[in-house]
Amino acid sequence: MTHESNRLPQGGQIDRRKRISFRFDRTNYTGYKGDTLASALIANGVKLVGRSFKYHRPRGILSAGAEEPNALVELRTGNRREPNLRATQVELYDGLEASSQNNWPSLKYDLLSLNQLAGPLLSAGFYYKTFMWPAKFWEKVYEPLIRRAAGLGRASGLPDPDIYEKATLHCDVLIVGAGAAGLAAALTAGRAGARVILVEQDHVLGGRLTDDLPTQHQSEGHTWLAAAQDELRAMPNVEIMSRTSVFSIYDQNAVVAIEKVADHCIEPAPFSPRQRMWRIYPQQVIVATGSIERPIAFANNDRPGVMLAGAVRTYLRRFGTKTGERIVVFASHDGAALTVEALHAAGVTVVAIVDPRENSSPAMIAAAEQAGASLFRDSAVIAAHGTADGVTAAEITTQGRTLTVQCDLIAMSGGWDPVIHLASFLGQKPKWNPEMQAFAAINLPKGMQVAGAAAGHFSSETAARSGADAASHALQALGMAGSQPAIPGWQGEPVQGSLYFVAPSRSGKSFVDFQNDVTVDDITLAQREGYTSVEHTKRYTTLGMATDQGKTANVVAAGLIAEIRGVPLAQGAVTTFRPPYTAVTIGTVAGRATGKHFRPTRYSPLHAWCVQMGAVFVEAGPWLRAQYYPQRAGESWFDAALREARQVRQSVGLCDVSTFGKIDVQGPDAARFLDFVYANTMSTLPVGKARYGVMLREDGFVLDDGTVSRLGADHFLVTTTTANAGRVMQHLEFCAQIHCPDYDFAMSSVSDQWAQIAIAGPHARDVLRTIVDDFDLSNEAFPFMGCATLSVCSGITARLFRISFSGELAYELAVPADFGCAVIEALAKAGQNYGILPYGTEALTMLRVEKGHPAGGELNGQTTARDLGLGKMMSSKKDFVGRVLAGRPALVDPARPILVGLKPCNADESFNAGSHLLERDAPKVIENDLGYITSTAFSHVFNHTLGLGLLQRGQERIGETIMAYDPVRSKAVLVEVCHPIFYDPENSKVKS
Amino acid sequence: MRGAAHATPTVNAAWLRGARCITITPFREQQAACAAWLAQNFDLAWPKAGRIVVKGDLAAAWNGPGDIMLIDAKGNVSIDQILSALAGKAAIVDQSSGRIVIRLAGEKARRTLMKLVDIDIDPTVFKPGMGGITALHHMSVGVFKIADEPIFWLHAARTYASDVWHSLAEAGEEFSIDMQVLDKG
Amino acid sequence: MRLNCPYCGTRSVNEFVPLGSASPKRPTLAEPIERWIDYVYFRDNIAGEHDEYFYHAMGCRSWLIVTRNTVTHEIIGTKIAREVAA
Repeated sequence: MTHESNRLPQGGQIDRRKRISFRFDRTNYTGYKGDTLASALIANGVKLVGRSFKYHRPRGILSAGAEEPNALVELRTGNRREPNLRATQVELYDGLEASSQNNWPSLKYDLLSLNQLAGPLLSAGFYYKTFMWPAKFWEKVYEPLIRRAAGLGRASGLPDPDIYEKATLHCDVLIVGAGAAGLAAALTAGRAGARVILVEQDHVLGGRLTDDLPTQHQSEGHTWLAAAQDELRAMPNVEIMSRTSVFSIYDQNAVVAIEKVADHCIEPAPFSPRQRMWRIYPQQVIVATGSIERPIAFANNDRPGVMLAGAVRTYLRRFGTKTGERIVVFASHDGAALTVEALHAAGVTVVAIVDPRENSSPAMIAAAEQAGASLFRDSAVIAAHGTADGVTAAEITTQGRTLTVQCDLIAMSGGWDPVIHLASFLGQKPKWNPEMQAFAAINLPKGMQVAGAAAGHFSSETAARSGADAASHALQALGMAGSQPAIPGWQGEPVQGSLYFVAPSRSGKSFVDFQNDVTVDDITLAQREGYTSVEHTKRYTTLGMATDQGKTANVVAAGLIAEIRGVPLAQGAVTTFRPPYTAVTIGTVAGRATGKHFRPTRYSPLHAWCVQMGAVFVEAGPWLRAQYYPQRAGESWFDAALREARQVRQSVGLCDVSTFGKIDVQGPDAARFLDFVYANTMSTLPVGKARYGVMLREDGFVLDDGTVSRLGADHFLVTTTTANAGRVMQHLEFCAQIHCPDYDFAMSSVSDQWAQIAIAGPHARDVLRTIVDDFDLSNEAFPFMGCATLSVCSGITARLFRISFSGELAYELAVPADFGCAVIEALAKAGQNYGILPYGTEALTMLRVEKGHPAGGELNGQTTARDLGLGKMMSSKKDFVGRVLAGRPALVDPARPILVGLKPCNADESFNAGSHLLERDAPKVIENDLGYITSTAFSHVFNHTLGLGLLQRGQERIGETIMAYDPVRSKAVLVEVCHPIFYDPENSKVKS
Repeated sequence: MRGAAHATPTVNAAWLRGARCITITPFREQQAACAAWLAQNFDLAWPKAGRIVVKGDLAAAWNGPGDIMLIDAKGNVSIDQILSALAGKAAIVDQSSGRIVIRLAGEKARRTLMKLVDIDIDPTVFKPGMGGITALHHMSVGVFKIADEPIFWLHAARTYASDVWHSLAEAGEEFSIDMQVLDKG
Repeated sequence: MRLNCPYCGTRSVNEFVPLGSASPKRPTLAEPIERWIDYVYFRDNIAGEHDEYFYHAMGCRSWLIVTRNTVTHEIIGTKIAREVAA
């Protein structure tokens, strides 16, 4: 290998003024700006670039595009190392570092290639026939071995340092692919003033436009291309997105594309993303994704130095590099004649053209003559000879004899397959089109068209025309009109061919799927073993299952299967097309939603104060709630919560209860509406009073509980639990809009507007008194379950609710969120003399369990009002949501588990929520299940654990001893059934 | 400021901390009366669906069927004034603490916003006076175009403010977004 | 998938919460319990055009009735549920 030995002295679309240094497998090379890694390696005479997946056969570059199955490399090092990138799509940049994959210890001397000796054992479906015995070897021996040997590239395993983001674009016409068809379509649509987005996966526009024009038309093609780009770039209504690949399409033609913002740089610019995911919503889509050349299967067709004929001319024309010195062309398609002509024009020797067609074609004959190459008609290359260093000869069968022709490159072409993936991702299977000699997309979704080579228009001229026509059609659907661009008459482009999939057999492996090492023999075996459906063949042989998704394999396989089964190809099929078209990084899918920000966090307006007070927080849905307030580093939640609960019962505490849902309901029919959604009656609630309410679902189970306060004749404030706020709002909107559309009232969520502070304990009134402006807080003037609007702290509008969750004298004070911290600070200061403490959710749980208040554990969606002892709340005088089904036999069955309290017979023992309740001596099986424990907490008042639970015939069993059984921890505890309200059942404290 | 320090900011986000937000939801057959009041007292027309009407620092933004949000960037409007005028005719709810209002402006404001919301904000279709309520990642926000420069007003739930601000900063850092808090408009 | 909210315009389906068939109508108290069971629990699983409830949670909070073809995914039309119910 000498310094860019294959580079032609001039030509190509590379920028020869900008030399680039790069490394591949720790060897230094140079290339030019505009090169891909593949073209630069080829220019440097590098033939061996990888080892195949299963057999570790030496592999070289096959193609020049996204369909590349062999040249998979690992790019970069450290935390940016990325595996399985196609060298044909890696833009060369200065300082690029790449490594080959799947070899050890080196690419050239790969010991793992000894796999090949086990060849016969590794044939199709071997996974289904081996590694089965003995069964216990699977986990300890086979699987670890397979894992170590499997895979192509290695993930870095390190955190990804790059930024990925997402964005949205809307347009009138989306054109996928900026080749001849796409450009013509963009010009047409752009001239009409439509909003156009033109997406191109490559970093340059043009596709195969100039690659596929004969030498005589090259200059004209470049001129047309340049003019088209200039015109498009000057249109403000046209957005050109290069380095952007559309990887999937969804209903209504919504598309997702990945823009490689910085993959062509050593690293992204600071504060700039590496890649960006675009959601594009077009009115019309034109799929102009071109076509992919089809290989031919013959023995050892995977040797480095066997390439697609179209790629050979791309490397010449676009990258200014030869791929070999002595070329044999093996093609049943006239497109290869273009390659011959291009090679000859570049001064490369074409030794022979091998054409399986009986009479060849005028184009091929002319090309052979011009290049001075021998033309073998009705012939085939049946084997490539060579080593890891490349092809040395082609074995040809012709006129009944075999001959060997020395060469260092075999350029093959079985024809061209339209790239129809995007047109097939929504489930429309393509159909074999005999005239086109290709699978064509049919049953396109409304608003989608396919144009250019993707629609079977294989010449640059016809492709361009079809693109312009598709755009005109799209404009018409949009009620617009535009002028089509002038398209030169590049006639005579050779696009004829005959179908030819597999050369006559000869010993040696003939590859169909290069990446997954699937051969003609494997597919034949699958057919023989009965896996005749192509979907079965695929899974049995792994055909088409590699990272290239069989882009160069699936149609060859379809043709081969048809031949084996003796059916016309029209009845053959290809497997289901699934996105992504090319691989997508997980980073782009995550975008910015990583780490803590994978979903938003909701902060209470009192959060800053809680932090200041040293709170430890717990996630409660999207919220952060203060869980407990340790007073020294490392204090346990239990000790802190016990202290907080004790202080509330003995003196006074403050709790942030801002996270509860709050809904403002106002209007002439507000009361009537609340009567409909609550099981109990709200219209009878006097102004200035609050009432506990239970809301059912229509199936009769409890949806949520809360408090309704009547602030005025037509003005109510509804509260919900924290967890159910959104669900309840949705339910209320449903009831309002669908069940009560003629009710005159309005609802607003005010959860964020109000900070809400619970002040609880015997000294609650004393503390509150210091901050209220002129309001009589005496028990007579403001008794239990009252509500009022007042002002606090010299003028802050507030609402006061005398409700208690803790079972002590308590108030909840609501102030506008902006004043929350100031007010709670004032309360804290006022309470200093009483040793006021903030308390969190753990203490709250201890307090409310002592008081037998149902909460999340009891409102689990499987309980009814009656189960929770609230059956009498259900009104019989009105229709309300859930009334009828709450009364169905199963839900009023006396044997149904109902709410009871539980305490351990031995005060030193404790039990967990979730434990099941059984008769004390019953066998611990499900048939004996009598119910379960819903909530537990340690009580400082009783100095032992307390529980709430659901027990069959619970009311009748108060005083009895039963068993609480935790099968997860294998723990059984004897418990006594009690009334659920343990503390102050007469409510003397709350009414004080 | 978020992003490359030396670069000139081409987008700025300002949290209008002193802004007042009040929703007005007229009861049955009271919309005309409420609209008349709005026109007389604030010289604002009642906004139709997907519209915002702006007069200086005061705006009336559509907030749902039969519902508008009065946004006062400078915080001068008093809810008592509105309550006394419209009591019995409409549900008046103060959301001044419940919503945050952010002004997003500058050459790159649109490119910043297109990373955050899914609606079509192309200037050919999204013009001053248009907007609505949509999703910003997993949060509901009001997005309205105030002027051609472009200037957008966003409003979001206060308890999500931290994430909205964070998302704005991330979306704008590529353009060296300037972020500030304004207490009086 | 994008839905056309009559108030807000075409929006991503992510802004909406689906609730299933919009065909069943809430019975009156006078009707037998079997009607209620039917209303709460039983749904026809239609392959074809079908009316569904969607709640525009991240938008105007309106409930909509969307006529959608469950086989082709085509959205045929959208109505405002409140107007249909009234």
